[in-house]
Parts: sequence; structure tokens; C-alpha cells
Amino acid sequence: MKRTPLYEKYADAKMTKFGGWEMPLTFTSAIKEHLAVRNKAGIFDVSHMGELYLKGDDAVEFMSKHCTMDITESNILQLKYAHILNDKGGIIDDTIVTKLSEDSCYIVPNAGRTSMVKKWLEEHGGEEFITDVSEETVMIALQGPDSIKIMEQVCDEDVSDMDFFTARVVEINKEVMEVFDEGWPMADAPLIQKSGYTGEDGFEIVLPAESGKVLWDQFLALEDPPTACGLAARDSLRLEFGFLLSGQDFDEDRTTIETGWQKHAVNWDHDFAGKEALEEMKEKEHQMLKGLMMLDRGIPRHGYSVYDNDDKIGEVTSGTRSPIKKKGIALAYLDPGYHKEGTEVLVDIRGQKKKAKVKNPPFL
Amino acid sequence: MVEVPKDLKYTAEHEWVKVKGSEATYGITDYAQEELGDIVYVELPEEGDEVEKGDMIGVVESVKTVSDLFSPISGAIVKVNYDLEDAPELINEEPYDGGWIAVIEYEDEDEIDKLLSEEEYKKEIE
Repeated sequence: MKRTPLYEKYADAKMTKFGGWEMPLTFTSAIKEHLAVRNKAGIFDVSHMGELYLKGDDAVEFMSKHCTMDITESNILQLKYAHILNDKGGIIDDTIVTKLSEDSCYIVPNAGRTSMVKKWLEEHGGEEFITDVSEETVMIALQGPDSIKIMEQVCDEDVSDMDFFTARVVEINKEVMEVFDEGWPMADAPLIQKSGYTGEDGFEIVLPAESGKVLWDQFLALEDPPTACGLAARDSLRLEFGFLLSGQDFDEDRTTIETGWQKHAVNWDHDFAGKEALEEMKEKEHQMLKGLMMLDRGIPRHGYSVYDNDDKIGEVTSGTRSPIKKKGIALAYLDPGYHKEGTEVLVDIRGQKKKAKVKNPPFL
Repeated sequence: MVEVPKDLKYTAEHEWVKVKGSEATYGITDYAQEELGDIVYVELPEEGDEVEKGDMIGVVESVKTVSDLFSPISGAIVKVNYDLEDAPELINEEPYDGGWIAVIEYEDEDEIDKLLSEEEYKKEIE
């Protein structure tokens, strides 16, 4: 079981296993942490996410050919959300691709998928470009409406004007830079990204391990600190916005088309592995990942079946109770004919069929 | 520190029972709610149901897991705590008061005698 560099900070947290990592599930209460992020601000250790750094004359072109977005036309320090596909259009993983320079970029595969993504890219000609910096890198997500206010208290440079899905190389403060690992290949100071997985305003800060530990403590030492949050809150927050969880809402047997993310995650004007398969899928009748909101009481969970009367028409991939709506919400793959918003279906919750309706996320 | 009140009886499955005359109020222990985390949904038994000790009579769901509720004793369910339908968090906040689950009219004194004492239950959760 792997542990992040911040593991030593988790004396009081309830821990869980996730993607091969021992991670905090909750620090206090999942619901309190969830509400803190929606109403004020929270911080998450997301160092279990992988960081693969690609550098070389053709590194950016190579990455563009192996993901659904065109990175060659990205601005420097622009982020793009993309899928890495196999030849059948099946999703190996989803990731954010950040262009660092004309000849370098980095991707952030999911915890349990990093070694698979690395192997896949290496087998397809990427070996000369890739360095896996996951082990020596910390990633802290600061999320919530107060994020900018919190950031201003630890960061010497003004980052309040950063646009969503952009990054900046920032010497955050003296203490962070004092222990900064000069050998870290990604940049010569921490990377601050305007991004996140909660639907709220916020930052994700990518930096070498020792600097990450200092920054984590600095956040929590503030007079009105952000709430330390675990993976349980991270999951309910992302689900309220319908964000995908790799390995749960998709795997290599599902295509980008079926997830419904092609509008945001595919640039059709460039060539990429799996493109033909996606184009074929577009023409076919297929299941779609849709949001469900419960009309009856009850909480849908991963693996529960969805029915129209006695006919099984789909299956739940993620489900929880929305702490904001106080209702059961889910993502589920549904057969053709059940994709329209407002369509009523039944979710089999432990043998009882409970009413739900199709609702496009966000659920708020 | 987990709370284990002296005046209650317990089961190894982390339920508490409070006996008063022929009726026994039951809920889940402080230890159980702590282990489950935030409780977000409770499926209650029906008033009037006849239950055997060990019967599955309901469900509690926390943010991450689903757990069955088992009847700690045999008898008839005479009252259930409908407040939990709108405020399942009462189980987290006051497991031995507002978080009670049901009142069972019991038949068998022996079953009550076999329940764990406070000291025995403390050993279970050590």
C-alpha cells in the first residue's frame, strides 16, 4: 500500500484504500467537509494522482496523438481535459494535459491507472519522452468560494486574476522555496493551476514533496484555515457535478461517446488514437451515462440495476446522497430511449424499485 | 472516547437495549455510529411487525456503506422513531437518545438476560 508524502499529517483521519494508496477518507465528517467546500474552502491531498512529465522535440505532438484534445494548439500553461483511448475507442484513463512549453507537457492520470497509462504511452512510442514524477510530487487541491482569499494569505504573488484551466509557475513563499527540490523536472518553482474536481472555484498546486509538506501546514495554520477534507467528501462533491471517476464510471469497455463528454473532451479536428472507433460509435445506438435524481427515498449505489417496469434498462456506476439536495443522486448507463431529461425510471435498491428521473448534472 | 452508558444492555453486533417493564428500546451504539461515519438514510421496521432475535429489520446507510439492522431480541415492534426519516444524523449526534430506532415488546426474559453488560461490551470493542 503506497502512502503520499503527507501521510505523516493524518494522525486523526479515518483512512481508506484507494487505487493502491492508503488515503484519508474523512478527517471529521464527510458531510461537514463537503459543506465546507461548498460554503467556504477545503484542502485535499491529491498526491495519489499520477504525474507523468513528457519532454522532447516531439513530446507535445506525441501526447496530442494519444489523447482526445489537440495539445499542439494549446497556449503555454493552458490545461485541457482529455481521454486517453485504446484503438477501439475504449477509455484507458481521463486526465488533464498541461502544456508547459513548446516541447514539454504533463498529464495527471488517476491513482490506480498511472502505471497502465505510462506503459501504454511507452509501448506506443513515448518512451523517450516520459518521466514518472508521481512519487516525488505532492498535489494539494484548495477548493471552495473562499479559495482566492485563502491563497492570498500564503502566496506572495497575486494569483486572483488567473483564468480557469490555466497554470502559473509561482514561488509561493520563502518557506516553500527554501526546501524546493531543484532536481524536480517539471518547473523551477511550484505550479499553481486554476482547476479542480468539486465544481467550485479553486486551485490545484503541484510541487515537490518537501515543499508540499510545508504548504499543507501553512494552510492549516491560518487563522481561519480551510477544512482538511478526505476522499469521501471529494467523491460526493464530484458526483454533485457529474464528474467522472475512472474505473467506476468508465473503463476500457466504454468510449468517450457513451460517457457524454465528447463535447468537452474531444477536438475532432486533429488525429488521435481511437478517433475512428469514436466516429463509428457516434453513428450507432448506444447506452449513455446519464444523471439520476431519486424521486422516492433511498440512495442508489454502484452496481444497482435500473428498470422500466420489469425490463432492466441500465446500471448505476456511482451513487450517493447529495448533502446539498438531501436526495439520492447517481450516474448510470441507460439504454437508448431513456436519455431524455425528466424520463422516469426505477432503481432497484435492495429488492425495492424506487422512482428516479433522468437529470443532467450538475444536481445542484 | 466512545461512550458506553452503564444502565444499558448490549449485543456484540453493537446494538444497545434499554429495558423498561415489558418494553425494550433499541438503537446502535456510539462505537457503531463512529465506525459508520455520517448516517444519511435509515430504513425503519414497521410498527406491529413480529420479529425474531437476529431478524433483519431495517437498514442504515452512511456516506460510504450500507449496514443491515438486526433485532437484538424477539417480540413485537410497538414504536419506531420516524424522526430518523428526516434527520438520520440523530444517530450520529445522540445514539442513545434521539437516535433510538425502535421499541420492542419482548416475550423472553432469557434473551434479555443473555445480552451483554456495559463491562462485557467494552471488552468487545477494545
